[in-house]
Amino acid sequence: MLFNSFEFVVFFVIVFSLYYKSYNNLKFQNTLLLISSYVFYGWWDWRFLSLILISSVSDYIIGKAIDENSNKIQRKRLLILSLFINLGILGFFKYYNFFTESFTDFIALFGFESNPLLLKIVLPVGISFYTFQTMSYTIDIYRGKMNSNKNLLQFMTFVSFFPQLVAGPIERASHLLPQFNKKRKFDVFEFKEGAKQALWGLFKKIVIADNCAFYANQIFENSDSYPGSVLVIGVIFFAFQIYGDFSGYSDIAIGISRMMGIDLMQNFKSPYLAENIQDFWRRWHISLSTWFRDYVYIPLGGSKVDSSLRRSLNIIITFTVSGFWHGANWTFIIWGALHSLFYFIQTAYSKNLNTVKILPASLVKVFNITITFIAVTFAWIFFRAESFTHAISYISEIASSTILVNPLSYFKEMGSSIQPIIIVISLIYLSVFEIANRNASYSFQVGHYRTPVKTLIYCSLLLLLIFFRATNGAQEFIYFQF
Amino acid sequence: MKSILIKATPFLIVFFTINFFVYKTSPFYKQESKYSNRIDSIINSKPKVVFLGDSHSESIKLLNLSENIGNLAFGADGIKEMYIKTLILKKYNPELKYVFISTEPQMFNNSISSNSTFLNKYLLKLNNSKEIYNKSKLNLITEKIPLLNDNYLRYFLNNIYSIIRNGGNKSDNNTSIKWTDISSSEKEKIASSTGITDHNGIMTRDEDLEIYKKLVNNLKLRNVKVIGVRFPVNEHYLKQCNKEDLDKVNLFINELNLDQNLDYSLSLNSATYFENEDHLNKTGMEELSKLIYKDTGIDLNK
Repeated sequence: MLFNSFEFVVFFVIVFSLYYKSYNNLKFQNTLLLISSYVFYGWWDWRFLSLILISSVSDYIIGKAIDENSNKIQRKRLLILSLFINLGILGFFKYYNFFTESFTDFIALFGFESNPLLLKIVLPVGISFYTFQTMSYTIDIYRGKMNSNKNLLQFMTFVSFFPQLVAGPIERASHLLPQFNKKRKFDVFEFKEGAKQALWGLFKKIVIADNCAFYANQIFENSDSYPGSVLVIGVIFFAFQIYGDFSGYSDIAIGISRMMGIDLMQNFKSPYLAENIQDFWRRWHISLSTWFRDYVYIPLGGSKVDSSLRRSLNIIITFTVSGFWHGANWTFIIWGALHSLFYFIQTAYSKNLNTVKILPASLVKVFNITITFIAVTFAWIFFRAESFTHAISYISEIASSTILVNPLSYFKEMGSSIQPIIIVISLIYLSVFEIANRNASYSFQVGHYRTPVKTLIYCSLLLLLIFFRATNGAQEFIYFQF
Repeated sequence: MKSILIKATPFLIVFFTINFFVYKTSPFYKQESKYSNRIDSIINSKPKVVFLGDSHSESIKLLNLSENIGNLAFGADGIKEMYIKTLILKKYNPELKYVFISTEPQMFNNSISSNSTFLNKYLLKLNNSKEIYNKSKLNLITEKIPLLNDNYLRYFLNNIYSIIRNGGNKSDNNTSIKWTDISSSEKEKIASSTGITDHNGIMTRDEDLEIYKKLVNNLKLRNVKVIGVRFPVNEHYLKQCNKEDLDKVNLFINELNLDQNLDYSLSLNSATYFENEDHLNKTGMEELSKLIYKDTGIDLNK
């Protein structure tokens, strides 16, 4: 069930009506959320509900056992068991074929031939998201940062909470779980704010992402047929497609959770206005980058290691693993590694720039934002390409003289003449709010304006949603595949 | 909660008023009504021969059609629409003996038909919402609301765009001039321009090709004779389909083993037969009907 479908609207109206009627009954609220979450997930494929059930029950039992056990070795063994179950399921469904193929290719380098046993595995939607969420629960108990939850219903609701189940934000148990332990009351302010954020998310998805996707998909799928100039626009469109798609999902998830009295963490903060790569990762998929910071980078020693080589290695490992999280393909690994490379380049460059204070600060800021956007967009080529060779041929074409070819006629062939105009207007609209609310919890913050201005802004958003939405049907969210 | 609902009410009233107004007045919905009427009349008359295709095939409407002939072709129809119509015929017309399907290259281009939502009510009747457009029943129902209908929105925005581009003048001036009155060079220019638009992305949608195969196979399974047909067009229009693409289409059609394959693309050369670069006029259609009769023994006229 997609957030941008009428099925979801009907589903949510029913769930919310029942939820609204049950504000005095915690058990009913949690039961309702659990059932509706399982219905929501089962809408795709009910068979994979068993995986959520295994993760939920095993982590509930193991979490409790770790908490009740004072023996360090036994606690460690229990944690390893939890990681083995979670990463085992994730590894099988997401990475089995990749590792098998890569191993076969590797031994072939030494002249050994083998027929790898590749399986036709369907990737369960959102498996990386809920697996990471439950893993953080057992790790935090092991680290003594939180106590285990004693209520299975609450814990299962935490793992499967439908707004963020399939594409995050990846919540920490310490933040989300306690919220299922107290009655949620209807709050008009939170309801309104949540509805606004959800609408803003819908705008990002169906206006920005889906319109950009129309061109980005055609360009990437037939990149051999287009000149460099079109390929540049293609990757810029992809940059906005993936941002609109993923941050749009997050805004809808956070918004509808707020409407139900549940607070989810912020996942995006105007990432394309980041001034360097480090800043970008503080603003892009925050729930994942902080997860990797807390559970990979810091355990590796983080920046508190003696050797600068080791520190660099920690950064490379974290970025690369983060890339690999996205998918079983070398392109994602290269994408992650590229970010670490950019990180080092930009760190060195900013050190040098700080010593030469010729340019005014605001100009430096704009320059840094532009450079960071170019670097991030360049890396998206690897993220979106089918393979490494595809990415290289895409880049080669951009680097050729065809970069000077007028791209307009190609866009005319690809679709209607009005769609590029719609994209430009929508991107300007998005940028206005992103720049105005660069550091806000989400960019559509208009509460401080006078009522007529506010009404005008709300009307404009509704008009854009109706008239500028992409007209090629409800499109899936990109991050579902991760 | 009440206060929120009260505040939302004016928006909802405006939204539904606009939709009601659009539904009652827009040419798009007049076209839908025409489309449904034609399908309904075929359901009732149960003709033995039916034509499927786009506006080229639709030109048979210019003839005084025999009651045995049904015209289910409609401008802007694509492969999916043709397929749904065969499903309708399967359910409602057991007397069907022959189906003429368009095998013209532009049928295999990559455009999305603006007619797809016109068939929603039939898909609901056929209880077949997912197969073709992968839409739920709820989708098909909500598409009845104009502002929630993607096809209507595309139509509306394209109209707005052409009005803005033409400086407020909505109509295209070319349409009022008779084809015979246009100079050869101008004819070539117009035909080439339309040809380029119509032959974009030929044979690139595998999904459509599968549906086309299914369409033919379903008809054959019912012992309905399937006759492929290409209507006459201006040579410069056809030239815009490059040879490689045309060969691909021909190969695909040949592999389908149709009962008959009629190619009249360049059979009529005189401009007097044409309404425009790719549509016959009444005289042209009468001339073509003679050729069809000669090749198939099927008389289209009363």
